[in-house]
Amino acid sequence: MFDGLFMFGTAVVGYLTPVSLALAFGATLLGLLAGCMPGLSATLVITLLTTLTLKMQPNQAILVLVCAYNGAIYGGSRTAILLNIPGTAANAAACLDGYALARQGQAGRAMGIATTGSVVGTLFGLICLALFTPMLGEIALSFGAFEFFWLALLGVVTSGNIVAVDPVKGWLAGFLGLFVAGIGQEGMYAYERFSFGNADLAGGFQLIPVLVGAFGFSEVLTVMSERFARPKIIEFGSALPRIRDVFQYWRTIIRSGVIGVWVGILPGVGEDMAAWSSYAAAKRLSKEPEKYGKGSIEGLMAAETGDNASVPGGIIPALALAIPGSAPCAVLLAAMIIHGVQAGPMLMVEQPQFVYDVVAMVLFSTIGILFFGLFFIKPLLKITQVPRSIMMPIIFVLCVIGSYSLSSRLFDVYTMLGFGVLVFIMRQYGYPAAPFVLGLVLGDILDKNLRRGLVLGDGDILPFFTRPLSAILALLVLWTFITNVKTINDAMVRGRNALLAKVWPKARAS
Amino acid sequence: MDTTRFSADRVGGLIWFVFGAAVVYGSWTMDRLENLNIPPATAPGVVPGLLGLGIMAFALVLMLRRERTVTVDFSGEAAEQTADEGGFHWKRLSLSALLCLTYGAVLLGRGVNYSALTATFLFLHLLLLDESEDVPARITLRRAIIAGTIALAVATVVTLVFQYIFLVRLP
Repeated sequence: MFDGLFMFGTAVVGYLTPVSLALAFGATLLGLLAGCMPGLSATLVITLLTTLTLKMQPNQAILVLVCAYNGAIYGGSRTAILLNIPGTAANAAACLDGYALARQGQAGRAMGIATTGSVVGTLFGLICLALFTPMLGEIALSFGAFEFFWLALLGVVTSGNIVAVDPVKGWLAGFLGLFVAGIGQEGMYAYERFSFGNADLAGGFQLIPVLVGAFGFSEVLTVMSERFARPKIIEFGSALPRIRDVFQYWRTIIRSGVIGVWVGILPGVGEDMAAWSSYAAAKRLSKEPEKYGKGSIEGLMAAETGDNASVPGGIIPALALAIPGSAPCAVLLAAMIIHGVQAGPMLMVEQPQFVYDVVAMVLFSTIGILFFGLFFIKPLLKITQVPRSIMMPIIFVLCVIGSYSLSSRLFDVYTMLGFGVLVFIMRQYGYPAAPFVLGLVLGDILDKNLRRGLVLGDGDILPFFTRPLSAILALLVLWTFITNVKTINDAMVRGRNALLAKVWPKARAS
Repeated sequence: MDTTRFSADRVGGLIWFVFGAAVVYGSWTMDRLENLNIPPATAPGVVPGLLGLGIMAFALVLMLRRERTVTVDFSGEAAEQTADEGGFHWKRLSLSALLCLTYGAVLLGRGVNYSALTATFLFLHLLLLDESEDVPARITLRRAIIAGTIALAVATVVTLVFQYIFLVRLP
C-alpha cells in the first residue's frame, strides 16, 4: 500500500519537468482537438501518434499516448453537445441529452457537466487503476499457459460478442485477427507459416502498419464515403460547472464510474459501451427517467463519467494481463511493446514503477482536461469548422509516412493500405474492427500458450478443461458461443422444453 | 434489368467458408517438423488449423441461419440507389481511394521525389474533392491557390520533420 503511494509520488515528481509537462498538456490538447473532429477516432489518434513518438524516450512516448487517449475521449463530448455529432464513438450517448440541453440554451451548462463527469470518471478510474492492477497482476502470477490461452480466446470472443451487432461477425473478425497474427515465423520453432516464400511475409505483419490501416486509412475511406454537412455551432455561455449539479448526482457519478471501469476491464469492449451502459443504468434507476433524451443533466453526467472511467479501466488488464480492454488500449499495448515495456503478470515484478507512472500520466491528462475543458472552449471549437475534405488527405499522408518510418520498408505501406481497404469493406458489411485488432494483439499469446500447454500436457488437452480456473474460463467461452448463436440457442430452448414436457408434463402445461 | 438479389450474409458466409477451408488445407499440408522429433500437438499448423475450423464453423452459421439481416443488390444502378438512401457517396469514395492508392501503392518509392509526390497528391485531393456533392468539385482559382498552399506547407513540414527530426530516409 505504502510502496504504491511512494511509487506514485515518485512518478508524479518525475514528470514535474518542463518537457514532460509540455508533452502531457500538449498531448491532452491534441487529443481534445482530435476528439472534437468528427471522423477522427481516439484509436486513430493514438495509432498515428505511436508512429510519431517512436524516437522518443519510452516513458515520454507512453505519456503522450495516454494523455492523447484520455483527451480524445473527452473532446468528443464537445461536438456531441454543440453539433449533435459524436466526436468519437464513445460520445454517442452524450448526444442524447447534451444536444437537447444545448437546444434549450444550456450548452455551457452541458459542457460543464460533461467536463465534470469526465474528470470525476477519470479520477475514479485512476484510483481503480492504482489499486486493481497490482492485485490483478498478483492473481495472474498463478496463471499458467492453459489459463492464458483461454483468457486470450475469451478476450476475442467477448469483444466480438459485445462490439458487433451480430456476434458471429464479431467472432469472424476476431478469428481473422488471430490468424493474421500467426502469419510469418512462429515463436517456437521459427517455422514460416503462410509466407509463400516471400521474405517480407516471413517476418510477419508488423502490428502498427496493420493498426494504422485498420483505424487510419479505413477511417479516411469511411469519412470520404459519407455526405458532408458543414456544422453550425450553437451559441453557449459559461461552461463552469455548478457545484449543486455535481453533489446532486453523486450516486449516479459513483455508479457510472464503477460501470465504466468494469466495462473498461472487459477485453476489447471499449468506451462507447461503457457510456451506453452507464446511461442505461442511470435511466433505469433515475427518479426522473422521463427527462432522459430531452435534456437530462443526470443522463449526460452518467454517459460522460462512464466513458472516461473506462479509459483507466481498459488499461488495467492491458498492464496486468497484456490483454487490452479496448481498441485504443490495444494500440497502447502495441506501443508499450515497441518501447520495450513487457506488459503482463511479470510487469509488477520486474517494472512495478511503470504501473504508477501510467497512473501519474492519467492524472496529468485529467488536469489537462479540466483546464482546457473549462477555459479553452471557443478556440477548441474552431477545429470543428475545418472541413473534413482537408483533414483526410493530410491524415492519409501521415498514415503512409508513419507506417513507412517504422522500418523504412515499402512493405509496411502496402500492409497499411491492404488492411485499410479490407477493414473498410468489412465495416460496411457489419464486421467490426475492434475484435480484429484484439485478435491481432492476442494472436501470439493464444498461439504460444496453446502449444505450450500441449507440450506441458504431453499432447493431452484435458488440463485445458480440468484445472479449476481453466475450466471456468472454458465454460465462459462456450457459454458465450452457445447463447449468442440464435440457431443453437433456439435448439437448446426447444430441447429443454421437450425434456421438461416428457419429465414433468403437468407442470409445463400449468 | 436482370437483377439477382443475394443475401449479403450468405455471400459473406461463403467467402469466409472458402477462406477457412483454405486455411485448414494450408495448415494440414504444412510441415509437421517430424525430423525435429517435436510433439505432434505443437506442430506449426495446429493453431492456424483450429482457427480455420473456427472460421468455417462461424461461416456455416452465417450461411445457414434463418434470419436475413442485410440484402445487397449487385447491379450498379440499384447499388447507387441504396447508397444514396444511406448517405453513401460512391463517387467521392472512388476518386479518393484512386488518388490514395495511386500515391501510396503505385508511385511512392518508385523514384519520384517524396516531397513533390506528396505535394501533388495533396493538391489533387484537395482540389478535386471538397464538401460539395459535385465529384470532381468545381475548380476555381481561389480553391486552387488554397489547395496549393496547404499541399506545399504540409508536404514541406512532413518532409522536414521525418527527415531531420525522426531521421527517416524518405521513400
